[in-house]
Amino acid sequence: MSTLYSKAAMPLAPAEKKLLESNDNEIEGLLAGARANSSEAKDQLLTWAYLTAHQYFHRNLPRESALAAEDAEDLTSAFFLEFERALPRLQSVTRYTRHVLKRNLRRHLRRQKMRRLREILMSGDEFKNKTEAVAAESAPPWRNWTDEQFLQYQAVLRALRSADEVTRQIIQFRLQEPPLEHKEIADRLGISETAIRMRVTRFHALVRKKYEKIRYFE
Amino acid sequence: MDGKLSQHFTRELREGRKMFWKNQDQLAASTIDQYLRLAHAPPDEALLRRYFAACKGEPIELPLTEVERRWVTVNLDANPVWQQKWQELEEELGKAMDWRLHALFPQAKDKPEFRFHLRGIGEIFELSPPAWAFRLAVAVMIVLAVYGALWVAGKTRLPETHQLASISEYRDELAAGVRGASATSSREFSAGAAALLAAPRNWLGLFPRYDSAHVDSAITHFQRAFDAVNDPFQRAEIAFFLAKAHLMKGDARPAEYWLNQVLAQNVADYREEATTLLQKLARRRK
Repeated sequence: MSTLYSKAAMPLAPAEKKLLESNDNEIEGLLAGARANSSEAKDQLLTWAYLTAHQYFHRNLPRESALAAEDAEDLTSAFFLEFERALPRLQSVTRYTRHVLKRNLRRHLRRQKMRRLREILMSGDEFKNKTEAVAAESAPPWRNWTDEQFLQYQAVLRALRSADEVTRQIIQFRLQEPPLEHKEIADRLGISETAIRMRVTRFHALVRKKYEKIRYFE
Repeated sequence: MDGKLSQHFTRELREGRKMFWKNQDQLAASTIDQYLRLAHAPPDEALLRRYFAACKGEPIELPLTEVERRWVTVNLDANPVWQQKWQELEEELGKAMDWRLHALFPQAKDKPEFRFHLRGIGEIFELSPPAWAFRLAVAVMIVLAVYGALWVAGKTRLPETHQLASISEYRDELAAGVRGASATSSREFSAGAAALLAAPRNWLGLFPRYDSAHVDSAITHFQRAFDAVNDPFQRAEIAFFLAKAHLMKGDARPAEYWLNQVLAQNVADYREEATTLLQKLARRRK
């Protein structure tokens, strides 16, 4: 589990490094290209967004104690999906990216702070329940699941069923004991590490979408 | 709002709403990974056999709990590893069995009603973060709107006598002092005039009022000045400002008395103004 979410910065291919070093005008140029239906420009723009977010959240890891490596990965995924969704309506990608990254990090840290505060204020009964829950951890985790958790699990299974072969392979590699690092997976599959991460992000988005579909009575 | 703009706004609102919901209960990547680990774990054969027996209607030693039934149901529904194991069991026991006979799917819940959140609006606004100039313009507009609202609120709360007490048209007369008066009355008039001029107060142009300490001081000085002079022109002028001072305090009766004193001097100065004020006060009393 620990190697799945590394605190270290992701090693970048030369092309990705160059993309990250592009100035604002070049990135806005990619937006114009994406608007003109250039799939290459769009791919580059999405890669830039992912890398920028990844770099931003990982750079904040040492200075924000409330930010874990898993959170950084989650925030990167969330930003990437938000970016992809907002792309057709964006006026300036660089301004949007800077603004939303900052906002998302602030929001995350605020929520973490609230969560910690709630834990501190937890009453005696709640503490007892928590302790019991920890004691029951040796039993299979699903024994204490609620319907909601079963639905989440069901959403994961359904998303896995409808995922493409490459994504399924990536997930398989990630679930090995010990899990394969993204770099190793990239070497084995012959695609870039960023592409792997983006595929995982999209898979997570698919799970969330499936969960949204099944969690409520339609 | 034209049709296109309205459509755009509706779309933004819908998107913002979706984003708001998603942000509220997003499945964390680490949670998804934990579920994936469970999905890849080998099936619990003993549990699957008990479930098989339950589907067949055979008595089982340890009845299945609801959680166990849910766990098996969810896995048999979409987990290929469990589906394969089920097939193997069917072959081994020589009987095809529909696992749905004993299935217990987790229950979906009712969708909560959408409540309009201010934060939702914030999310829509952030879809395309505007330039600083635009933000500044919006901020200025908000400040002006709030200022306007406060100004209107302050105006509606003003007493009727406040407007009648206004001395803005008489600033020059008050600054010039009383004409041809003795030194004592001139000094008293000047002190009264200064106090009266300092009486109007406001907060950044909002919530206008008259400072009662200054008004009381002005009344005292004017009263002394009035007693010290005999000239009807000077008495009319002082009486008029005494009436204004009483109106600043909101006292209509003494104001009327002093306005009648203006008329009683039988001079042209301030006569017309005093008559008009008396008429307005009379109308107000009705």
